[in-house]
Amino acid sequence: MKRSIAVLLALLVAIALVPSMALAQEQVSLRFAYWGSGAEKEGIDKAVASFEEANPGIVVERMHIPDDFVTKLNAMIAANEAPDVSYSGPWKIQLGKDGLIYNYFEIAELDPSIAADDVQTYSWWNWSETESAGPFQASVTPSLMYNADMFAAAGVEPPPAKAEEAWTYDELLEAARKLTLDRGGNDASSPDFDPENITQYGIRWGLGWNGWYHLVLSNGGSYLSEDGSRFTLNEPEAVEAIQKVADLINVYHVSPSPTQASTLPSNSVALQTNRVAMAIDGSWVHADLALTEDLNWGVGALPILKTYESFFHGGSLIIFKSTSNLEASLKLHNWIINPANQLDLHRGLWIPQLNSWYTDPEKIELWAKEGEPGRPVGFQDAVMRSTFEHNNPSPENNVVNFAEIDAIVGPALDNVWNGTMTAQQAMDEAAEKVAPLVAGWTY
Amino acid sequence: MQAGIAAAPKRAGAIAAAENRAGWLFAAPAALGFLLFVLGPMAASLWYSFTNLTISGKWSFIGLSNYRNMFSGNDIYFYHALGVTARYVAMSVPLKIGYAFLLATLLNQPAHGKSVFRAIFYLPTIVPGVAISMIWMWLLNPDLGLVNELLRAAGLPTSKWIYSKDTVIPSLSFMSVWTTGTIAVVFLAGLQDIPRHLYEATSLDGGGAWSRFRHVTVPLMTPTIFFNLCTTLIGSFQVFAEAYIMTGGGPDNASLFYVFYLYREAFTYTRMGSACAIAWVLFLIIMAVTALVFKTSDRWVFYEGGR
Repeated sequence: MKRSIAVLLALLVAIALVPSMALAQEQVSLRFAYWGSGAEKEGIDKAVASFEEANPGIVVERMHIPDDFVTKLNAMIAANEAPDVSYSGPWKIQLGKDGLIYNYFEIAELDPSIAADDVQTYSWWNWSETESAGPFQASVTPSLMYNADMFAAAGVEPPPAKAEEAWTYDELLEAARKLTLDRGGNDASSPDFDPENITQYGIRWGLGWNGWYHLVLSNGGSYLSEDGSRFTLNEPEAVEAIQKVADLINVYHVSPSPTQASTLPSNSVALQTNRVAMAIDGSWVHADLALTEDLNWGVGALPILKTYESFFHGGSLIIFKSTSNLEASLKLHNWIINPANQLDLHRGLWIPQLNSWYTDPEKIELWAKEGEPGRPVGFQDAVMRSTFEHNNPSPENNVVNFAEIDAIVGPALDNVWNGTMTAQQAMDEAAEKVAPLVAGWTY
Repeated sequence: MQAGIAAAPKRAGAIAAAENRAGWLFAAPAALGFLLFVLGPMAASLWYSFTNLTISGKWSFIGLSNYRNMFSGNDIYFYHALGVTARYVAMSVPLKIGYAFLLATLLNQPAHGKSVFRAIFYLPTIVPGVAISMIWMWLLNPDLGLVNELLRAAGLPTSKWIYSKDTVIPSLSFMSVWTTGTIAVVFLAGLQDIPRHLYEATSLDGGGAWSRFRHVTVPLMTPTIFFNLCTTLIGSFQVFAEAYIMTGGGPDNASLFYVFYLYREAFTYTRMGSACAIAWVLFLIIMAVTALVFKTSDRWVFYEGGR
């Protein structure tokens, strides 16, 4: 009797243990660190929730860190509590070199939901030829946006959508002159025009590298020499392109200087309130424009000097080697970067980084259907095809030490935009300072 | 009786010992806090300043390389950031001290609504640095800002303020005067400590308002001025928020303050070891400048009844 009771008890214990053991085996817990505000956080949260739904055994602890991301991540790494998967800035290269994160090329085959050969050629963050911190999580690209009603009011044809018909710089300038108005209502082509009292600018051109670099490319210029040994933004092709952007500000007065721009609202609001007629800015602005109620906006092909050139840029997610479960981490990584799981964000904020989303009509329909709030008529020509077919590597993930080089080039260009130096002077000065940092291309 | 006399010192000794213990206990949180949270990290950062520590926590010992890199000019920002910061200190410290002293003197006068004014002038000090920077960005905006608008209305020439290389440091110095409430409060306390009878004596000797100020107020205030000078100097060398929020160090690095440069080295370029070295150089500079001020203090700081 005693014996059978003991057996019974042992059996009960065993039964009680089974589910918890099963749980312990199946339940994987991951930590995912990310930043971003508003729509981006919402999109990510949604994608994570759908991931958990599709993978019942995996729980994702979401760590939304809107500011001081590096500081906090640094503290987590120091305490041996790095997240499994994380957003990352250009500093990921250092993490890769220090061996803290996985080389994506090595682990890619563990989860085939993203085919590595479907990722666009230049959409990788690599720290050596064979080691990668991963493909872009999504892309963005420079985009020319305009307020169609302002064009109609000035009797000017809006910029064409097709890359083959793209405006030359001179055509853009001509339109911008008619669209720049002073307090008295004179446009910039009129002899009575008063450049001291401009109320409406023809164009606001993004003055960060991602605003002007496509024009440098279009003129045959480049960040570095072909062999990557020299900084070449001070060579004639690049200098001419940069000077042309500055001339819009200081010679033709159709574009705001940095000082003047500081009084303007963000581009989506500036377009909506008739402060600027055109803006060259990142394609993420489409998300804000999508929310404007009665703005009749459009997108055009970028202006050119010689040939049509553009590029995609973007960030990537990293997987820490300290992760307790590589397979689940990679699965989460691939889930989040898959446009199919981020359709809301890909209808405004982002554009895909996978080739098939530019060639497969069914997939195009999912994110680039024209007439949707963030995708005006002409979008497929002006943004989707023009970038896809005229793609170049972006310097951000292609120039070694880009962040530090840009920290010298950007401030030097302030003097060009302010009209106190020519592009040649500023870039010659910068060339001297950046020389010790130049260490080639990554592609 | 005999025993009583003998016991008294013993009891006093016991009380002293107990007080001693209590003293140590009360001081312990602050002392421990300093040891654990300040001295420890300081020692660590000194050590790391001789390494190439990166964001990943990996490092190797590289000797004086970080320091050599800075002083040799290999790091193109080091001397530049020092120069920018020195200019800011040279401009803002006299402005702040002078203005706060004037303010305190005025607020010390018998007047109606004195406490209201004291509150008003102190108010900006409790506004967070970020909010202050945002407000001033609007005020100093060259096209729409209130400051230029007022200058225009008065028919005076306007300025580009923080948007021009030449005027950004003066503008930020000028702006720093706004938050001198704490300095003014210390001055005010010092002013109220000045014995009335000294003023009366000066008056009896036929001294007017100016001699009362010159021969009583100023000499007796020198210890307070000295204290404020030291704290303001230290604080001004560490200026950061204005560059971080208002100018991003620009235009063309014209407002690349030392601490902003340090921040960028650590959190943009993730070179923690080098950032530690940068921090230690600033620490030494501040120490040296403070020591210098202390050294000269014999000559101009007057302590009532001697030191």
